[in-house]
Amino acid sequence: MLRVILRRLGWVLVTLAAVATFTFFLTFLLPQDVARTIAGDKVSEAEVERVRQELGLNDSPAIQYVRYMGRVARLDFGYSFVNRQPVGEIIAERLPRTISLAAVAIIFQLVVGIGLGLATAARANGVLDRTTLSWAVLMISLPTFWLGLILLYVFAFELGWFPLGGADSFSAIVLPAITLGIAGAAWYSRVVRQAASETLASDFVKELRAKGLPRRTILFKHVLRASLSPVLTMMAIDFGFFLGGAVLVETVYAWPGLGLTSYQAIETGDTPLLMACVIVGSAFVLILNLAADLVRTVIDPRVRLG
Amino acid sequence: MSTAASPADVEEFLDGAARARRTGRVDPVLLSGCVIVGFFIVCAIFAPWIAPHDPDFQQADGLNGIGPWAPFDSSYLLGTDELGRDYLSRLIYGARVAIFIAIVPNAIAMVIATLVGVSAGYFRGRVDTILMRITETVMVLPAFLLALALISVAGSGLWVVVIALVLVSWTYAARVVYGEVLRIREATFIEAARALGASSWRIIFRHVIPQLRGLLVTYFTLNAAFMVLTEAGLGFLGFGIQPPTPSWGAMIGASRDLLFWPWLIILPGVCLALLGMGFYLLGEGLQRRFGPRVPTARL
Amino acid sequence: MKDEEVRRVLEAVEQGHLDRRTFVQRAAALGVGASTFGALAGTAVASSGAVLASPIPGPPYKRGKRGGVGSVAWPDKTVTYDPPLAYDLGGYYGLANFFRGLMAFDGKSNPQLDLASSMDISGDGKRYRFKLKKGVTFHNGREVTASDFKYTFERSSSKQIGSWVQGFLTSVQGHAAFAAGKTKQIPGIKVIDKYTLELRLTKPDVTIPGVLATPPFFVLPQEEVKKQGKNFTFNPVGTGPFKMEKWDKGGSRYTAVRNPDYVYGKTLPYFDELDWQWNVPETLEYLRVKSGKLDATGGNLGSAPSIVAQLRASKNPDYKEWPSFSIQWFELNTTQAPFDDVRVRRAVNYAVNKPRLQSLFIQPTGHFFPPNLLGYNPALKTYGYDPEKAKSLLKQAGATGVELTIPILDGGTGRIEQLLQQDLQQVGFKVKLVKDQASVYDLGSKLATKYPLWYKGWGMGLPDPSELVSSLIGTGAPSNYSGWGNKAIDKLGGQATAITNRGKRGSTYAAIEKILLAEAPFIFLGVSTWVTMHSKRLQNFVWEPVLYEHWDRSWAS
Repeated sequence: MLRVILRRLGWVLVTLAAVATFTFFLTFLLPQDVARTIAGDKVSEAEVERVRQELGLNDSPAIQYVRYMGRVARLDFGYSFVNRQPVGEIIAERLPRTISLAAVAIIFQLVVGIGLGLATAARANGVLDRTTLSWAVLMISLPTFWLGLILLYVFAFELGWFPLGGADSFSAIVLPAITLGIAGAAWYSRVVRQAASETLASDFVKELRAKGLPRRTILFKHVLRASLSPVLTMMAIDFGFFLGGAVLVETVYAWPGLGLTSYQAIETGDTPLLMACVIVGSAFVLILNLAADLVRTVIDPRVRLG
Repeated sequence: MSTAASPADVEEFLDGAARARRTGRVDPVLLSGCVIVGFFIVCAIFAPWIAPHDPDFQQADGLNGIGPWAPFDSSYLLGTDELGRDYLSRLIYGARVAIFIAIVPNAIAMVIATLVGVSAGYFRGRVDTILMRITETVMVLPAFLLALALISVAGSGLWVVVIALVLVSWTYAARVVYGEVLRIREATFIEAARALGASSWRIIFRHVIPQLRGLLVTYFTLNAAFMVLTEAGLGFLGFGIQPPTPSWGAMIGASRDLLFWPWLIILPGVCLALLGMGFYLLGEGLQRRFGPRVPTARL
Repeated sequence: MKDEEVRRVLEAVEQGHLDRRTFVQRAAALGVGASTFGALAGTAVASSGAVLASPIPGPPYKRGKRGGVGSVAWPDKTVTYDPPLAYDLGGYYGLANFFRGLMAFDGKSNPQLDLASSMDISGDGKRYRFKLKKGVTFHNGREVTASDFKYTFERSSSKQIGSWVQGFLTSVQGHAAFAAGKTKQIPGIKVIDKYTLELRLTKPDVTIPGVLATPPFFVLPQEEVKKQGKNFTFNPVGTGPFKMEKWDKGGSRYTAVRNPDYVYGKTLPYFDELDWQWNVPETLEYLRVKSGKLDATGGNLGSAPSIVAQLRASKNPDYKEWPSFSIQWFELNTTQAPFDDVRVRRAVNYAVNKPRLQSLFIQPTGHFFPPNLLGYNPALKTYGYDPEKAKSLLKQAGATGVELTIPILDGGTGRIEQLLQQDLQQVGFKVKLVKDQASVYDLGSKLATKYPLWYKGWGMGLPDPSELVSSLIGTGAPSNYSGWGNKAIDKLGGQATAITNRGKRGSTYAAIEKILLAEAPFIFLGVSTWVTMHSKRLQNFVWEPVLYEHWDRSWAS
């Protein structure tokens, strides 16, 4: 088991190296005088040349690439083009905000998704089941950012229940987390419903029922357990998708996390910051993916970590 | 006292098509999907004839002194936008972008996915290991973020958006195809073809790919919704198709600071949700009707 | 002779160059009482007199309530609080909270004495002597001396720093050699003693007091700038009413606390704390102010038209539209076809549908100079909206069916670009819009290599037309990327700063604008209406048209 985990971690590093290479490639292709951008537009040519020397921009691409990878390995992402601050420090400040937002959103989608999925499976074709189906299709089809704008207007401004964006108070996380998690909740509710229905129809459950086990026990102990596996499978590959959603949701709610940072980095041409967002975001997602896979092997003995 | 759903109930529900077939009626899910998607396709194709005005033209009487016309307040049926352009026409033309996005990058992604999935699934061995490793890794990565990084460097434009969307979506499809090919290659008719000495490529094109048709069509439909919504996300951030060409997502993005002219935000959102829903329903309906069930992957 | 001198002194008073004490001293030296001056000057002294009576410079302040937290939010991320480099709005507006200079603006863009206790101008106008107030300290506790000002002024003028104001002190002796990197210091900036600073000029320059009232010339402590290096950008140490307490590097806000040792510390500022938020879109700013969760909107709400429409309709007393010095235009790359031909440049000016600009809250004057600026001549003929004339000019120039690419910069809404796109297409251009980034540090040089024209907005920091010549339209001026220059404008601009008579100076600048309009290196649009809104509890909120807010005299009721 440990060896498998180590091998997976090794693969994570290889992937990150590939992502870093991709970012280097992008930066290198950029039709931009990096030294001029860093030094400022109105400084003398001598000053620009000084910066160019300092950053080694006159070296061959190969040397620059090696140096770049070395810096990334040391988590040194250079300085922001915009506010001249170390990119690492900016990310360190923003990443926890995205982690907390993602955590709350994931909990929300799991609780709502699994809860609804089980409830609808238990009473298939009931009123709840029918409404949930249309609700699920609707939620999946609604653009996240649009829903965010509407929720913000109605619940934060008109009703005043939540702060108007930002991350200043605890309740500020509610609307962004719901916006980010609601589509996932809808998906999960359908996945759980399907898995739970199949389990309910299985011989195994028939046997349990024949033994006279209470319905509640069957549902929450056996059916729930069997339905978790597909949800976790989905979740494991979902984190990347989630981070994409975070860019939109954070932009709508002015939530100062990694997503908003990446958006602003693009808007302002802050290449070092954007590339660091991509690398750190990928690392974040890869690690979560590994963690989800681990949890899956624990819950479902049939799954093996590859 | 009701008990847990009986197997028959579940079957019944899962296979709405069966009920439809039995009662001789059309599956309502499939029908509604067809109607919605068909409506937008008609809008897209016949936009120049349907739209009352040039969608990009800032009408001389398009503003009322305070701002744009609200819906039903003027000769502009659904009002105008902040630059005085007919909003109905923009919405209609927006369908063009949406349908284009639903088809073109989607089709490219399907082709890539089929190539990768079939090669890996059919040849197995090293090809399989390498291809599927790459696919699974890219699938896990934050594709939207990577696409944004690409756009930030390449600049935004129609084809950059297409590439970004392909980048975001081919992996899921490749995995689905791969799974299906693994199943197909064990089938007896493939064995037979192989025994008759048919070349691998011949088998792939004559026997494997035709078998995938149902799956691909279903997946294409479901993925279309994802494409439309993702393009809308890019457009909302301002990285989609460039103005003045109307795209629903970009229209919402451009109206973000125009909260008190709510139709500018609400109407394109409704169009997006409708079309997205239409594709999902269509996909769901096709699945029920023709199977096979697409393995659950979030689109 | 005496009359001449009297007129000169009055001129200075009118422009706010003299404080009350110096004024009285000078008047005494000339052997006339201040009252005589008053009689001679009529309204000039009467209007200045009200301001002069205040012992604290800046807009009128009232007795307010001490305490509480004032909050403001900005749509953008702040780039830096290093005074000569703060280029973005949020950064520039923040400067006056942390720094002060020899002079300060009074709320109507007239300079007044601030950290200087007196300003003495020599008879030939070529020597400015400033006496500093004693006992003024930086946030680190050290007393401000004349050599700090010398350091600051040289830093702001240096090519190594690359400030947008590097052309502001060109009249000081030795500036040219310093700018060229030949000398390490500017000999014309002279430290006489610990509390006396002198500026020696090569020619009279009446813009000096105004220049010194702009934040890039607010005094910095040399040792802190050196010690902190890159970190100085967000750890501003100045003499201002607030001290930086903490800020987050990700750029969402900073907190500044009251500086008890502020030069007017007995009275001002009223707030104990300032909560300055970044990255809050206009819509959220507005909603937060409206629901009382924020005290003021930063930036211009006018960029969100539906909010202004709503505010106008509601007759809300807490919102204001200010006359601004915020100029809007499209800069043309005049080094390449088609805009190397003046006929094409004029044609595109005729092509713009001026009345339409009002929907974007641009007052379509068609001028380059804002209406309330010295030298603005309402009688000057501007380019009206005349597409037919545009077409015929284009035909003459043989520039038909030209393809143009216009960038939408830095996440702009693209509204103004779309307006122009349509107008240009109406007269036969083929116009494409693309998204790009440039203006972080105003990387205009990059724009000129890629695009034939691009949108530009400029908020004036110095309420004097000399800024426009030295920064934007002079040949090779630091922010002139059009590649265009005009010898006559350069010459007139050089002369104009030395003209002491305001009327004459005004007509010189009017002549400059006339040449500019005829040559048309830009597509002239107008000035933007500046819209702000504050909470009900915020009192005495003053927005200075030259881009700062006097937070030291606002309080919460």
